[in-house]
Amino acid sequence: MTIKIIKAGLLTTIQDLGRHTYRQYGIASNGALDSYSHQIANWLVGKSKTSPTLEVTQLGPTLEFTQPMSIGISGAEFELLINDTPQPMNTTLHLKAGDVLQFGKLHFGARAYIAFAGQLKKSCVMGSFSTNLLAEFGGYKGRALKDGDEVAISSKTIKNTRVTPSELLQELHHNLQQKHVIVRITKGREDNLLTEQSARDLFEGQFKVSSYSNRMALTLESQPINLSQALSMTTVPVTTGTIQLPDSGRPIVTLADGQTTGGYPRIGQVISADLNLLGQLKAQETVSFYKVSFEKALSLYQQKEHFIQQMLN
Amino acid sequence: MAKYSLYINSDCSLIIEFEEEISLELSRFILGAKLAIEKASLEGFVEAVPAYNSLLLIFEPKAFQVERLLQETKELLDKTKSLAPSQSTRHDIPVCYHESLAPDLAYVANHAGIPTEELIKLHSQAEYPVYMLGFLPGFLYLGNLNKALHCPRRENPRPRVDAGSVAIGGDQTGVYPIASPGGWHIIGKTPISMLDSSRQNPAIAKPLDTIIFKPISLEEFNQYDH
Repeated sequence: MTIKIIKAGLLTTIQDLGRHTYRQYGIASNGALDSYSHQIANWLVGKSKTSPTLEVTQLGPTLEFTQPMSIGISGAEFELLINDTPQPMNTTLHLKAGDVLQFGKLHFGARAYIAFAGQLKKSCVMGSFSTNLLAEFGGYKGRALKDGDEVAISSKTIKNTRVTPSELLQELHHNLQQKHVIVRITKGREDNLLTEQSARDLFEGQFKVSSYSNRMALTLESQPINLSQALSMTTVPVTTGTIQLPDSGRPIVTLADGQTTGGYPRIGQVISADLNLLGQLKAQETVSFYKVSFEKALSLYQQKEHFIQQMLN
Repeated sequence: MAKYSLYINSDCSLIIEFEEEISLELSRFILGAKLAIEKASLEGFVEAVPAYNSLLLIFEPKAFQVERLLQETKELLDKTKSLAPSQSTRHDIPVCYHESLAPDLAYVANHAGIPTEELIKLHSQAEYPVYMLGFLPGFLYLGNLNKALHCPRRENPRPRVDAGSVAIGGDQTGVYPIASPGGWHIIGKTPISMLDSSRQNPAIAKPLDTIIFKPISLEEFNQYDH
């Protein structure tokens, strides 16, 4: 069977948890920006979190299913229609042959994930199904879906209907609805260059997400943050969540498709537990940073993982 | 042994930093350390990413036991042997310097105050060591560009530079493995692919390998399948 892409939406790509041993070759991890929502979508159809999903961005797609299929959708809160009838997110949906799934209005967040009970007929590239948009490999022909594409997948329906526990959604999305997100960060290697004033600007200010942001990086708008001295940096490795301060004084946050190396002072690092929030921000929304210790960051990660595991039992 | 400092870089990574000047000798030590750490199968180890004067060690956050990993990494570093030069491979990259593929060749020659033939000769005579990969998938950071060819980057970066473009930016030369915006001066183009996603090492070279640019004619360039 195939999924016919009637309308592709703004940026709909195949993603999983990414490829993780290729930064040394200049290849970013790729993968779902909100890996928790990706995991929940998979759970709704009884799949493991390593299974590929479709990542939907802000303006969702319209898809036609040629055979029966159970699906699960989680993440940013969209209105959903199946054959023009409203349907809930975060519930297993059982589609019949010929059903049309349409994404409507986006209420909050930026990215949602569609998981399928069937298997996508795609092969892994460098250990992952994720699309590398930059180098055009992985996923569907190395690119975002276009109108008229047909994605081959095996037809499968499941008996169970699962519903994402509301406590879990509350925990993951509690500040997305306010269009302002607090992201916790640990220290960056060059944050000693922050003056008292610039540290205040960084930790007390609000940063507006610029429209130049994409899957590579969040570029932020703010009053320039000034360092105590200009620093000529040697190129260094960066990772998803590294916050760099270019000469403009406006921070950029590396995301899953971002460059593997950087050349600007690293003024912070988003903690692993909060990386998913970065993927739910869109232009004009705001973010602020709250500093925690490495120990705290690790315990927050473990708590979050434990909580999700409990909820998705 | 190179003098190093070891820091916690994030809630799932450590970084080893070296104070000394960038050199091939330092890179051999960094690559030796990378190999030793990869072989040690530390708990939760994901990847070691080498750079000019640092080495990033990435772990799974769920297995990131900081104190233990700091200790184990120190022990490995103290025993590290530099990578032997014999493990380096030489790669010849064909480059067509024809003006139709080299929009900035004349500019760079003019900046250097030499004829374009001389620029091509100087650029293709040297051996360029690979220090690290990054910036773009499969992009090689090369050293040893002849001082006469150093040229500040373009004031206005191009919105799109073709894959295979050979370029000079500041004191560096390199090849764009994929199409990308770019601020370097384009002095030629290679017909070969610098990135192959089906290979274990998707790039054509690894750190400490050497690159030589082999001039080819436009006719030869056009005979390649691309």
